[in-house]
Amino acid sequence: MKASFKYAIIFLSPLFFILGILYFMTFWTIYISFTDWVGMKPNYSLAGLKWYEYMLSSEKFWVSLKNNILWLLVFIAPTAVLGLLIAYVLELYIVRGESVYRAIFLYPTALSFVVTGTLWAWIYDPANGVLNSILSALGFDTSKLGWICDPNIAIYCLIAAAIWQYTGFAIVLFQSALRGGYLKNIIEAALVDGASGWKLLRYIIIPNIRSAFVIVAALLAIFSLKVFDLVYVMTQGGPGISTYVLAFYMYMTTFWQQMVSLGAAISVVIFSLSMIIIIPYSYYALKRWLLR
Amino acid sequence: MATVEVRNLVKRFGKVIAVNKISFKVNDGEFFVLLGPSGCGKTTTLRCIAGLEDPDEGEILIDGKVVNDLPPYKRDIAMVFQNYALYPHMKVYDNLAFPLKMRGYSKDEIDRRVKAIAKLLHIADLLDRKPGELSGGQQQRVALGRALVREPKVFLMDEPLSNLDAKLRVYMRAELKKLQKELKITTIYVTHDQVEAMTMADRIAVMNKGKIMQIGTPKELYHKPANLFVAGFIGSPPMNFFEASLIEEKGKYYLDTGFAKIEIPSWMAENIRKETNEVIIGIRPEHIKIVGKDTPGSIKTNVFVVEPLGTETIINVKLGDKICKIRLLGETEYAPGETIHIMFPVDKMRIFNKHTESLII
Amino acid sequence: MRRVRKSNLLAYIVLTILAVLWFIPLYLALTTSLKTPREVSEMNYLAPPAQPQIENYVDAWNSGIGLGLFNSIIISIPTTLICLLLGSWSGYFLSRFRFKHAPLVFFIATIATFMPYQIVLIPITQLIASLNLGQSHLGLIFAYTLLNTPLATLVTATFFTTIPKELEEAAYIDGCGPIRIYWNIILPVAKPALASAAILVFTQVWNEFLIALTLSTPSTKPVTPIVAELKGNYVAQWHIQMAGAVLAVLPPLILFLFMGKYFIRGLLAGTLKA
Repeated sequence: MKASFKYAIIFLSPLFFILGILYFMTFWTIYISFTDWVGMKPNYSLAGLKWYEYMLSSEKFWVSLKNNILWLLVFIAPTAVLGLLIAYVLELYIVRGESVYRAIFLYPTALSFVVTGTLWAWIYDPANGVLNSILSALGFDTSKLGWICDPNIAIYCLIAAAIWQYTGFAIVLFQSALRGGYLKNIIEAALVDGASGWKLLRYIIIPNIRSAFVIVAALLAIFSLKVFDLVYVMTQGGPGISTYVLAFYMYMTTFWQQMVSLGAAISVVIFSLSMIIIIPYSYYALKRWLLR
Repeated sequence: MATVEVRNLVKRFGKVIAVNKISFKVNDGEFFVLLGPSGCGKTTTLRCIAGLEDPDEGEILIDGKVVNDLPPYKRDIAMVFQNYALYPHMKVYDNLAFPLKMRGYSKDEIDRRVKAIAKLLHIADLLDRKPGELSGGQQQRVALGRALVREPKVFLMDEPLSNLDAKLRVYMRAELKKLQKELKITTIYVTHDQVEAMTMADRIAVMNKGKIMQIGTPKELYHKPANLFVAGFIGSPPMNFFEASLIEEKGKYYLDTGFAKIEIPSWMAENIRKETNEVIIGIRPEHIKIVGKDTPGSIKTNVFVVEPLGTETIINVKLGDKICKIRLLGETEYAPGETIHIMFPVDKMRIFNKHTESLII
Repeated sequence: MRRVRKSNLLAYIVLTILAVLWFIPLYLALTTSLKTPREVSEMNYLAPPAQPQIENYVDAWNSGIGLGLFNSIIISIPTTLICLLLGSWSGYFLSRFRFKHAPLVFFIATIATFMPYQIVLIPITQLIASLNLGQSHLGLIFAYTLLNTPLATLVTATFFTTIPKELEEAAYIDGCGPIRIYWNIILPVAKPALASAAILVFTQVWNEFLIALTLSTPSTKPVTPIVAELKGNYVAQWHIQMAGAVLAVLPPLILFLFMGKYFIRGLLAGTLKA
C-alpha cells in the first residue's frame, strides 16, 4: 500500500524520536571524548586528542584490546561449530526427545550473565570450586589449576562459560536453517542419493548453510566486543588485569575513576570496532528485508 | 528391476491420518501411478516407500524383502522431487555424479555414466552450468538424470511435471513414458492430474483421504469405476450424475430421475433391486447421444450454454435442476435456447448405489 | 525428515553426554542452594541435599534479592509494554508501506538495534539526572525503553510481514484507515508474534546488567546487580549465592520452560532473519 505523508509521520514519529535521541547521544559521546571531563562536574572544554593519547599509552587499553580480539578468535568458532554439529545431529539422528535435548542446550540463553558468572565463578574457584573438587576426587593434582585465578588461563575460563551460554542460540539458528524449505529438500535428495553422516554434512549442508553461519558469527562477534557482565562478575578484570576487556575498562574509567572523557574515548573505540561488523550486517539484513 | 509391495500402510501426522491402511503391489517394470486430489495421502505414501517417512503401521517390500528398517540409500530407489531439489552449489556434472560418488564408484566409471545419461536426456551441453542458470525444463531433466544415473531398482516421482508450463508438460509426458518403456524400470509416479495418469500409467491407484478408491488400468477405471469418487475423478469433463429411483410400471422397469423415466432391461433391474432402489446414474459427456424428437425414450431439454473448443464442443443442458454436459466432436450448430432431444444409451450408463456410492452396474 | 538409522545410538550417547555437561551447572545451582553451609563445605557437590534448606532462599530474599525482584518487575514489565506498543506501532508502518526512504530507515534502525550501548551510556546518565528521574524507577524504564524500542520495532515489523496482505486490503476496501487496521486487524492477528517479541524484550531487560548497575539507587536496584553484590557480600557462601541466582533467573526461566516455542521464535526474530 502506498504511504501518505500524514500517516508516515503519525506512525513513525516514535521511532524517529528514539532513533534521533540515540544517534544524538552517540555523537555527544564522541564529542565528550574530545573534551577534558574529569570528575563529577561536566567539563566541555575541548582537549583535542589528549585522552586518546592517554588511552593509547595505557597498558590497560592494549590488554583489553588484545582480550577482545582473543574473544573474537576463541569464542565464535567453537560456539558456531558446536551449534551446527548439535543441530545437525538433532535434526537428522534424533527421533524422540529432541525438544528435551534442545531445551537443555538452550536454557542458558534465558539466564542473565550475572547468574552465569556467579555459577561459573564458583565452578572455577580453585579453593572450593566444583571443578577442582571433582578433579581432586578423581586423583588429579589440582594445586596448579588456578582457573580464574590464573592469569594465563582466566580468560579462557570466561570464554568457556560464554560458549556454554550461547551454544543453544547457535543450535536454534542452525536448526531453523536446516528446516527451511530448500535446504530440507536437497537434504532429502542427498539422503536418497546415499549421503549420510559426515558426507552429508560436508558436501551438502555446509556449502548451503552460509547465511545462518554469517548471522551466528556476526552476532557472536558483536557480543565479543561489548562483553562486560561476565568479566565484572567473575574476575573484575583480574587476576591483575589479565581479563580486562574494553567494556570493563570503560566502566572502571567512567564510574570509578571519574575520568569521563577517557571513558568516552574507549566507548568510541568499542563503537568503531563494532561498526565494522554491524554495518555490513545491517546492510545484509536490509537486502533480505527488501526481498520479502 | 523389482517389484514393490505396500501392505496395510498407516501414517499419521499428529491427529491426522494421512494414509489409512492401504495395500497395493507394483509389478516389475510397471508404470504405476498414485492419483488423487491434494491431501489424499499419495505423496506421503511415496515418501514412505522412499524411506523419507517412517510408517506407523504396515510394511514396505521391495523385491519381496521388507525394507522398513532400511534408510533410503539402502533401498536402491531413486526419486525425482516436485521442485527437483538440485544441489545449487554444484555444477550439473557434479549433481549427476553425486549419487555415484556417494557409492564409491571410480572416477572413470562416474565419468562414463554421467556422460551417457547426459546424452540420453539431451543435457550434455549443460554439464558445466549450475542449476540456477537452467530453465525449468532443463532442471527437470537434470533431476531425472540424477535419479537414473544409478540405475536403481525402483524409480519414484513426485509430481515432477507440475512446475512446467503446459506445453512442456505435454511434451515431457510422452518423453517420460518412452524413457520408462526403454529402461523398463519399475516406476511409481504421483500426480493429481488425471490426464497425466491416464496417458502414462500401466495401472493407476486412485486415492482419496488416505484410502485407495480403486486400482486398475486406465481402461478399467474409465469404463468400470468402482465408486462415485473414481467415476467423477477420471475423465474431463467429468461424468454427469443424476439421482434416480427404480420403479416398475406395467411390467417394465424404469429409472425415474424426475426429469425423465429411463427404461432399463429386467436383468439390470434385478441386479439393482438386490441392493437398493435408490441409485445414482452416471453417464459420461461423450456417451450421451443427441437424437431426433421422435426417438422412443428420448429426453427433451434446452441448450443452456455452448462451449466451443475447436476440436470439440461441450453443450450444457439443464436436466431437472442440474447442468448436464454433452461432448460432441468438432464444431456444431446448436445454439443456446434451442430445444434438443438426448438419450442415455443403457450400456453406457453406470449405476451406483446411492448410499454406499459403489458401482452396481 | 527421515531419521537416518545407522548411527542413531552413537548420536544419542554423544548428545546425552553433552546434555549432562550442559545441565550440570543448573543442577549444581539448584542442589547447592538447598544445602546447609556445612554440607557445602563438605564439597560433595554432585550429591543432592540431605534436607532442602528453604532458609537459604529466605536469607537471599532478605539480603536484597526480594527488593531486587520487586524492582526488576516494576521496571521490566512497563518497559516491555511500552517498547511493544511503540515498536509495533512504527513496525507496522515499516513493514507494510513502501515509501521513498524506507530502506534507509530500516538500515538506521538496525544499526541502532545492535550498536553497543556503551556509546550512549554517559549521555543517558546525564539525561536521566537532568530530568530528575535518577531517584525513581522511571529513570531505568526510560533508559531501557530508549535502548530496546528499535529492537521491538524491527522484530514486530519482521513478524508483521507474515500477515497476509489480503486481510488489510479487505479492511481497506471496507473503509478502514491505517490506524483502524492496526488496532482491529494487525494486533489481534499478530498476538503470538507480539508474545514472542514481548518475551524477547522482557528477557533482555530483566537480564541486563550494566545499565542496572550504573543508573540505579539502592532502592531501585534491579535483581541483576543485587546478585553481583550477593556474591561480594557472601564470599564463598555458595548456598546463599546460588539461592539468589536461582531466584534472579526465575521469571525468564519460567517463560522459557512454559512458553518455549515463543521464546525460540523471539530469539530467531531478534536476528532479523526475515
